[in-house]
Amino acid sequence: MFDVIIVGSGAAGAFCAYSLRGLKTLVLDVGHIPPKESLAGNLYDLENKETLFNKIIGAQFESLNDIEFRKLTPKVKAPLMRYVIQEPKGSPMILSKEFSPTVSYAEGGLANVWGAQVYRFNHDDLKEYPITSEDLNPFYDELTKHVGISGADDDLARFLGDASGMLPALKLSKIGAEILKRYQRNARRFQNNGVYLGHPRLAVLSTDYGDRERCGYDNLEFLQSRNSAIYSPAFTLRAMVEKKEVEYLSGRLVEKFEEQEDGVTVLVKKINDGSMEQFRCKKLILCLGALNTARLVLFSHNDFTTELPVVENPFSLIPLVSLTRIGMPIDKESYSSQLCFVYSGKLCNELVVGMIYGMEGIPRSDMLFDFPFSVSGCLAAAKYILPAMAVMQVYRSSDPQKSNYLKINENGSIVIKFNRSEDHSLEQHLLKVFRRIGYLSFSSLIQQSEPGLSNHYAGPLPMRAKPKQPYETDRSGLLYGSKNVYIGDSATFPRLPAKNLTFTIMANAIRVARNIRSMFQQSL
Amino acid sequence: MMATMSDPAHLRAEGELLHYSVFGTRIPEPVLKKYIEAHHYYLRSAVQSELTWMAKAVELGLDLEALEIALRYSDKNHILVRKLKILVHITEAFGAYRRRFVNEHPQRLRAITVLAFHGFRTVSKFLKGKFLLWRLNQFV
Repeated sequence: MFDVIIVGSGAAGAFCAYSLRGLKTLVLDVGHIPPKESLAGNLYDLENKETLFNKIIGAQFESLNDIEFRKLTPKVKAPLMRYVIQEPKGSPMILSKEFSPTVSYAEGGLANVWGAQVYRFNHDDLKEYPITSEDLNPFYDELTKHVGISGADDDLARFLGDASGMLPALKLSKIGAEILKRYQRNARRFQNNGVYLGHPRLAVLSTDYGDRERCGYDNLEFLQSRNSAIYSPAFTLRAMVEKKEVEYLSGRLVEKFEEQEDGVTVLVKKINDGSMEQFRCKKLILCLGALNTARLVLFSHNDFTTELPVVENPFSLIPLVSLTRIGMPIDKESYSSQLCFVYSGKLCNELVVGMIYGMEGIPRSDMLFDFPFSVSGCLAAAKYILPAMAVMQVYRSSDPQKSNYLKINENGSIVIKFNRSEDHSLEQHLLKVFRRIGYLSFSSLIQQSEPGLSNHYAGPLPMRAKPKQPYETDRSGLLYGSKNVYIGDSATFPRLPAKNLTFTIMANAIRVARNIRSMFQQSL
Repeated sequence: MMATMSDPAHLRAEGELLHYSVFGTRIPEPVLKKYIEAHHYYLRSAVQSELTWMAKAVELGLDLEALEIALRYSDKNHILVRKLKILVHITEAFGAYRRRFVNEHPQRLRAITVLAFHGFRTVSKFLKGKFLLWRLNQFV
């Protein structure tokens, strides 16, 4: 019997395992891994030297996906990244007309394709949570050291905390540096309008760190899997497996769990031959990602009627064009994430957080048809306007609503109903503010994300100070009515602030697992 | 009636005309091969009426760039819009097209002139496309 079984190896699973090193711990995972092919060098130099068809478009034309099928984020769409969303045989289907989520069965989970933004949830962000920032801060500190985070103390420190323990901020590209300079010249005007800009805090190395190499500014982050500068939980998992600190079994799809007085039995299907296995443990931690964790809990309870809340961060995209940079050459040495911005003003009740991206690393064809020209004009626009362009991604907070829920049907498929209202008043305000410093855009160019596209999901098994009903969890992650089943991922987050949730998933996973570890230590 | 995909001869003629419409040159064989191959994965569920429409436009040698801009905002999933996207995506992965997509030198005056030219050209292409659409719909 294992002390602990962890299901899933993403941001939550990897850090639960990390905190339980030394106990008899098993991680069960489907665990798809990246293809062996890779790209090395700078994208723009590589294009000159070799044919990159299979790495940019894909042997099966994977990156053309959005032309016919549901929209995917640029990273997920790339051929060398497709392993992240590859679905194993027998995995549950997601049935929804209005919500298109991305789930991952890869080693390291969706954090293989994350934007790597790392933000601490503060007191305001944790409203409705039964835990406080003091509960999480020691783990944020530990993670800052473990992961390697770049950042700087600037105007954003009042919202994001100071940058102590961080590596220097990443180098800005020309467009990023220009925006920051203009912001600094007009800081008062920006701040009077509630807009603050600064360097993002990123799990991307600006200097070599341990055995990982610093960011190469090679424009490959949208194409190349497992770039060592961009942290993936798979790095932590691999290191633990190599040192034999945890046991890791991939190729396994967990079908169900059954709880007994003295532990939990986990029923597992081997993907390669469909045979079934059973594992026993004293404590089980579910870390499959909010949607699949909720599904496994409902399926294990044979509950095909209960509707559980689903929360997702909505986001919008706003292109900005610097008129003075039209016709300037492409910035060959750059990293996509340029500047973080925060809106704290009258238009929204709480903080809005976003990122300004440069366009150098994204295939031009992905955006080319958005220009209001005929195709040959679009090509000219891609050539001359894209180096002058940045895209602002605006994330908003989200609360549970009765209309947004998931349940499972008798086949075990996840059924999601989701409804979202749109309000562009903040985006229009941001357009005005940026227009005043020379960045042109129009409200007709604002794109609202389709529900499900953010990859930030939470809410179905909310943590409460005093859980009162099934499918709630207590502050330690323990599922209501259970003695041994814990939830380690964002399924327990009762709501989502606008800040990227991944860093908090990691910190909370450590918190949940440390509590379990201390129970084992006390019982000795 | 559903069609699984166009036949390779049609796709070849179509790829040649599409490429000429956008780039003004003959399509290189490797690009054409990829364009045809892409149809093993995409547009497999195109209905017969769409394929007929496309075949007629190619047979008449119409200005596909003009048709595309006339269709892009009214019917973004039109088969011509999607086929042009496929072709442009494919070309971007070939080094020979790099200069079409990437600007490596400062050339502000040229950029502004070219973009202004394309602004006017787009308006004329749009009007031409609307006219061609009207004519084509009388044929199919």
